[in-house]
Amino acid sequence: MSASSGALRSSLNIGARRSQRLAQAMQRWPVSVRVAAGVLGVLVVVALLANVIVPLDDTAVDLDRVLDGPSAAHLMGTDEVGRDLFARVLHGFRISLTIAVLAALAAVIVGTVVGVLAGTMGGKVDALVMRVTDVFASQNHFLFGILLLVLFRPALGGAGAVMLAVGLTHWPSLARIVRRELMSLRERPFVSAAIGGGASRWRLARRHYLPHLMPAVGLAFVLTVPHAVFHESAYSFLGLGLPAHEASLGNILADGQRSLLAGGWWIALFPGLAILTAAMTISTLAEYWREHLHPRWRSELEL
Amino acid sequence: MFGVLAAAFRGTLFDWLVRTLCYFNTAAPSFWIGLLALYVFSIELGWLPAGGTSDPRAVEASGVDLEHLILPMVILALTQYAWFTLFVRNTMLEILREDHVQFARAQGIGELAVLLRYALPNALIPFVTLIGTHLAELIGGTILIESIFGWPGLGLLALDAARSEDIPMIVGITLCASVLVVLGNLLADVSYRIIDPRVREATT
Repeated sequence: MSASSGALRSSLNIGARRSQRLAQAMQRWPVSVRVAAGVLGVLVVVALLANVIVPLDDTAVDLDRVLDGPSAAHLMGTDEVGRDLFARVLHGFRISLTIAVLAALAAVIVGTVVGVLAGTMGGKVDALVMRVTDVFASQNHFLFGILLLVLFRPALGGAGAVMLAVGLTHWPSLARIVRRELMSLRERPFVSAAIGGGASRWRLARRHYLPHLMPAVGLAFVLTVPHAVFHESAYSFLGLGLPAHEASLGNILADGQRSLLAGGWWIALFPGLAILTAAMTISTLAEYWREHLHPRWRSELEL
Repeated sequence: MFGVLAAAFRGTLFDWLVRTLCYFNTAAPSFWIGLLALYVFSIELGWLPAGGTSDPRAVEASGVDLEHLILPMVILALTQYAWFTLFVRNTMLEILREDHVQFARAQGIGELAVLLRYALPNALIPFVTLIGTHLAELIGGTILIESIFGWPGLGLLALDAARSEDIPMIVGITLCASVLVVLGNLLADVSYRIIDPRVREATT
C-alpha cells in the first residue's frame, strides 16, 4: 500500500518536474520558435476538430453560388460547383497532414530498421544492405514515387499508395545516419561492458542502441513531415494521388488550376497557404531542435 | 551571392530577411507559386502567354521560345535558389572562422577582399557537389512545372505515361534521372580534384 502510493507520488513528481523543465525551456525559446509552435498548435487543433467546426459534405453543391469570391458567408469563397472552400481546405488539411505523418513514420521506420540491420550485423549483410540503400538513394524522389504510385495504386488505393511512395523514397539518408551512429556506438566502453555481461543482440539493440538513436530518428521524422505534405499534394495535384472527389490539399489545388482561367484565384491561393504555413512552422521548430541536438546534422540528412 | 552577403552581415536585419525569404521559398510548393504567377502575369496582367509553346517551326528559326519559357524557367529557378543561398551562407560562416581568413584580416586586407578572395573560393567547393545532385532534382521539379504551363517536355511525357499507366516509359524516365544523379556525383568528385589543390595533393 505505502510502497505503491510512494511509487505513485514519485512518478507524479517526475511528471511535475518534467513539465516544469519544459516550461523553463520554453522561456528560453526565441520569438520565432514560439510563434511557430503557437501557429502549429492552432493548426493541429483545428485539423483535429475539423468535423466539429464545419462538417464536410462533398455532395453539397450549390450551383447558384459557383465561383463566389471570399465573403462573410463563405470565408474562402466557393469552388467550381459551389462548395464552401473553407470547409474543404480545413478537411483537406486534416487529410493531407494525416497521410503525411503516416508516410513520414513509414519512411523513418524503414530507415531505422535498415540502418540498424547494417550497423549491427556488419560484414556482408552491411555491404549488401548499403548497396541496396545506394540504389534507392540515387533515385529521384518524385519520379520514383510516381512509378511506385502507378504500380501500387490499384492494390492499395490512393492514400495507401501515397504513403508507400513517400515511405519508400525518403529513407536512405536516415539509414546512413543510423548506421554511422551505430558504428561509433559499437566502439564505446559501455557497449563492450554490456557484451561482456552477456547481453543478447536484441537486448543490446533495445537497451543500449535505440535510446542513443532516438534524437536522430525523431528529428528525421519531423523533417520528413513537410516533405511528405509536399509530395502528397503534388501527386494529388497531378491526379495521381487521392481520388479527385476527396478534399486533399493537392486535389483542391488541382480544382484551383481549372478555375484560374475563370478568375477564381482564391481556390488556388488558400490550400497553398495551408501547405506553406504547415511546412514553415514545422521546419522552424525542427531547425531549432536540430541546433540544440547536434550542430552538424544538417549536412547529413538530405531529403 | 545573397548567401555571401548574409554571412558577412550575419545577425543583422538583412541576414534575417534573406533567411526568412529562403525558408519561405523552400516551404512553398513550386506548383502553387507557379499557379499564382500564372494568374498574376498571364491572366490578370496579360504580359506573358499562359502556357504551351508556339509554332515549332518558328522556334526552330529563332532558337529559343523565350516568351513561353520565362515563367516556367523563373519558377523552376526559384525552387533551387533558396537551397543554394542557405548553403553558401552556412559554409561561408564556417570558413570565416578559419585561421587563414583571420590571418588575411590581420594583414590589413580590406573586408571585401577577404570575403571575395579568401573565403568565397573555399565556400564554392562543396557547392559543386550540390549542383551535381540538384541537377536530377530539377527533372522531378519539371514534372509539376510542365504540367502547369503545358510545356511538352520530359516531365509532361512522364506525367502522361503515369496517367495512362505506361509503366515501361516511367521506368525509362526514372532510370534516366538516376543515371543523371550518378553522373552528377561522379562529375562533382572529379571536379573536386581540379578545383581543390588539397584533394589533388592527397590523391597523387
